[in-house]
Amino acid sequence: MYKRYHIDTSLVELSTTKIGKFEIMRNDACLNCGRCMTHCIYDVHERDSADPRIMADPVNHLCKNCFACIQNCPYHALEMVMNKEFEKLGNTYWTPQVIHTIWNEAEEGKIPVLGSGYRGRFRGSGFDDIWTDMSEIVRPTRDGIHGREYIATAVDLGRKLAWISDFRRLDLPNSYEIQIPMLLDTSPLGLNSKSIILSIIRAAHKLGTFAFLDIENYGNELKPYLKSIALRCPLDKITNLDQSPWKEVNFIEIDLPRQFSISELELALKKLKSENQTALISLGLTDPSLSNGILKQFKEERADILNIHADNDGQSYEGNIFICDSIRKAQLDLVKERMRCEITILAKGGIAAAEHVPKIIICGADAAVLDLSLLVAAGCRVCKGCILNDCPAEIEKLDPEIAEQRIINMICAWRDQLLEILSAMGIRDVRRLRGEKGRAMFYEEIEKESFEFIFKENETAK
Amino acid sequence: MILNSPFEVKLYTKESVELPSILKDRLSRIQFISQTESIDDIQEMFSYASKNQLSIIPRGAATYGMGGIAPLRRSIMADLTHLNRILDLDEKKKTIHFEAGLRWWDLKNFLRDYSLDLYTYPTSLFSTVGGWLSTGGYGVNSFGYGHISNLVDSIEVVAPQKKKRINRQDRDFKYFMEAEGQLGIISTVRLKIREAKPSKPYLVFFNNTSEASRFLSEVSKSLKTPPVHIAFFDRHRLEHKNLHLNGRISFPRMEGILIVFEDLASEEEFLSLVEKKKGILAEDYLAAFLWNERYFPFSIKHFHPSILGTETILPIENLDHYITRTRKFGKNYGISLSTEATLINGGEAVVFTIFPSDPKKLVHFAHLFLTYSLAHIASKCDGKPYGIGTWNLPLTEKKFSDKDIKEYLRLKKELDPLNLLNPAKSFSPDWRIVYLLKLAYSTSGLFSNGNPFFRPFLKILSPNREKHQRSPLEPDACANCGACIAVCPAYFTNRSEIITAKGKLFLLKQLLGGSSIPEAAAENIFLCLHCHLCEYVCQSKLTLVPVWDKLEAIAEKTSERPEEKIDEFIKKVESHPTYTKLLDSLGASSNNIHREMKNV
Repeated sequence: MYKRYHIDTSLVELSTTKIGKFEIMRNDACLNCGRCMTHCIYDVHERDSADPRIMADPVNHLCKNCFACIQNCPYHALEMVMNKEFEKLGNTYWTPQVIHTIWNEAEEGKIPVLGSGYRGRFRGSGFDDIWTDMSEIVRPTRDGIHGREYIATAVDLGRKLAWISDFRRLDLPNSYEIQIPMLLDTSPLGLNSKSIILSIIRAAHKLGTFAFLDIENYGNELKPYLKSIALRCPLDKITNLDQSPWKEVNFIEIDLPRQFSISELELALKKLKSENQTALISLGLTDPSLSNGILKQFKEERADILNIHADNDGQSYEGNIFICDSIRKAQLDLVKERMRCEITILAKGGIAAAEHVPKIIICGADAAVLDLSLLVAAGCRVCKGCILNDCPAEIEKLDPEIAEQRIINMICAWRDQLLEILSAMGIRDVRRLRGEKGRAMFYEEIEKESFEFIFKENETAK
Repeated sequence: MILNSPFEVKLYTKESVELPSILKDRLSRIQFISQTESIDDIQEMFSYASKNQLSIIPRGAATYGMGGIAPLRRSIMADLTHLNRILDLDEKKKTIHFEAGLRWWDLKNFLRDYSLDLYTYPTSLFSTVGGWLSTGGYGVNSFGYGHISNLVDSIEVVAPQKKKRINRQDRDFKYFMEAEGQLGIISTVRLKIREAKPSKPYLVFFNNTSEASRFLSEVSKSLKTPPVHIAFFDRHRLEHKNLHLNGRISFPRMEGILIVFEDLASEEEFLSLVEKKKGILAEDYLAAFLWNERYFPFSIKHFHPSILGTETILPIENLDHYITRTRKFGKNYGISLSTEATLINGGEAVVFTIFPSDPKKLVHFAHLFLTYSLAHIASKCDGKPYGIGTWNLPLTEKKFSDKDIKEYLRLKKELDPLNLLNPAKSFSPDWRIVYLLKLAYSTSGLFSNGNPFFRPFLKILSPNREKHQRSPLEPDACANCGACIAVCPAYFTNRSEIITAKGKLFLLKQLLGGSSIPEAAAENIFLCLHCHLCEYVCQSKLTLVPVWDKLEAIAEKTSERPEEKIDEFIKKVESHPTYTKLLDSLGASSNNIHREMKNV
């Protein structure tokens, strides 16, 4: 029977994430009239439980900055300021706002609301340089979340046939469908706490997607979830592998160092193929420029997936190339080689918000790999240095079930937002968004197009 | 609704200036308070009263102070403040028709939404319209627009015998003004109103009262476009106002005259007159402050337990003489007198002379006696009493001529032949009381020039004149002005004054006097939103909310906190239309009356 894909969410609150963007201050002029309470739809204002005649202090972290209480206060007894604690969160890429948004998504699994209008800026660097198409935003039947028309968010991982040569052999050995274009990753999570790894893998298991796991972190407690694990191993360790769990996993990634010999890689790939014929084989690259040696591995069907790694801020490890540009380059290279459709591209690093997923797909990725955002969902504040004993989010002590549900909640919210964007574009299948550069405007390119002649003239003048 | 607990009865009979207890204890008892909300209610009350041989004391906001609601017979007290609906606003003809229990403050607020305003209003803005029509009629802007009766189109009077509508043109109309509720209960009023207009106050200082009073008679007659409000404040009265200022700005030790214009056509003429008469023009902010203080006539109460005094209508040319005499009088008896006069036409002013007194001290009784002496002085300066009530019963013939009294009695016979309404007051005096008061009054005349026997005795007893800020915990801090009642959210839901600041301060007074919390008040103590509005409008400028907490603490010792009742109360208040309206008007505009009213 047809079953619609659905993610179960539930409210999971964390005491450590109760840091609001705003702080509402109630001054002595308050009449305790309760007007703020009737106007606030976010339950920021309540009466004191001990003495209901008096208003309690505002629950600041629930405030969405709508100003309803301030505007409706008959005696101007309320003021709002930025919360100092909030401003201390994160860094320049993982801004306080990004972290706060993820926390909200992780708590309820709903699309968070904030503010009373957006006054700009309307472009920035990185993902904010991309504007997506929203031309079909008014079509009610294609309402993303509640609409009558189903919008598919499923994507295929692994090898596809370039053409059909034999109809009897249509069953593909090396292909898996996942219901969301998102994979999870346990690798960069500074603390590498066992409990958080377990929560991420269990979340991936529940969501029907894969979670990358470094081979040295594998333990017996993860055995039940083997089918959802994408095992990652450095190239030099492939040659001396013991049996388990290689035979049973469905996804293996070789983490390539900056310098490696193609022959060594070829050897390792051959060994893997002989050990496990059905597993998807992925190459984890930090450099987006694909050498002929690598392209050969794909051509000769020894590898199926290309996973381009960037750091937490989305920058490649070699030179300042942003993940979007890396993906676009890799996509273009594969198109030139006429093999884009046969293999899968994944993008890892710097995916920090819901809208980054469709944007990276527009750039050419099949799916996004989420890493640090998962830790943020579990309460991480992206401090400068990570000290396990002094973690303000108490990640180490976190109940794995709570972290798991929060991750699931966040991904549900992200999928819902993906649906919204797809519906606004009039697209019914996320697979059709892949590499659809026409569905977005790249601000830098527009700028170049309009102003390039000036720079050219200047150059010739020189 | 009927309120009959002894505590509530005591509270409702309380006036802004209380009669001395020696007199009060001799008064008959009020059986119960009847809160009438319609004409039917009033008529029902009449028939009950006549069946049970009870009299009726009509009561507005109880701000009069002359013993107007003192029961001289066994009576029912009619609380008319809930007869307060607005019936019709005619924006074209500029009239408003409403029930007479409406407070001036509420009326002013209502009109504000339509950019309309009152011509005149009493200084105690929290009194009821019916109350002011029945007792006084002169107040803010009276110089420009005259007595309130000029602005009333018609009234409806309910009396035991019949219901009557009276227009201003009717011959009998004037007898219903200032009748102190003896002819009937005014049930509805149709009042003239006008567009709201900005006003510009000027304050002029003079070195002495003779210069000031010469200027007064000039300014009241000579200007082509006259001011709407002229008031004289003697130096001692201005000193009282200084107590509320922070010291960085203050009024000088001079006589002041406040002149308020709505039309500035004669401004230049006015300024040259000031120069000619050697007046000193005060800074704008002082003038504005003094003009704003019209809403706080009793602010001096903040520093003194009780205020005594007289209110008379005096010819302006005698004002100088009057003040010289009263000052000498004050000096003789060691009392600090201060005088304020509001002009009501080119020739007369309502003069208000007050002095502080402490009812706890023995000398208070002598002070009461001295107020009669003051009335003597006023009377010698051709003054007439402003109101009669109970206290001024000996002065009745000074206010009403024999002819007037005849007319009143004719109407009384027609409307209230059984004499149910406010009996034993000016139209049907109880001779025993009148003789007693008359005796006191005529004896007091001997002291008006400074009796050599009495003088030294009084001086020793006279109160320490040092002023100190009063705490609401002192039993007599409340001025009984009723301002808090008009804004109290709890009163909207409960409708008994027991729940308001006035009621609770009275309760506190009783507790300090040694009695325990009456049952009727116990639960109501907790029904308070801590909204501070009572504080904001308090005429005595008291810091009240901390007192409520203390009162609650006292109450919690004997009875449990009624949690369920509190919850129910909050739900009621939050959804109460009157409260919603009040909040709306608070938030509506920046130049609203609440902000004006807010204590400096």
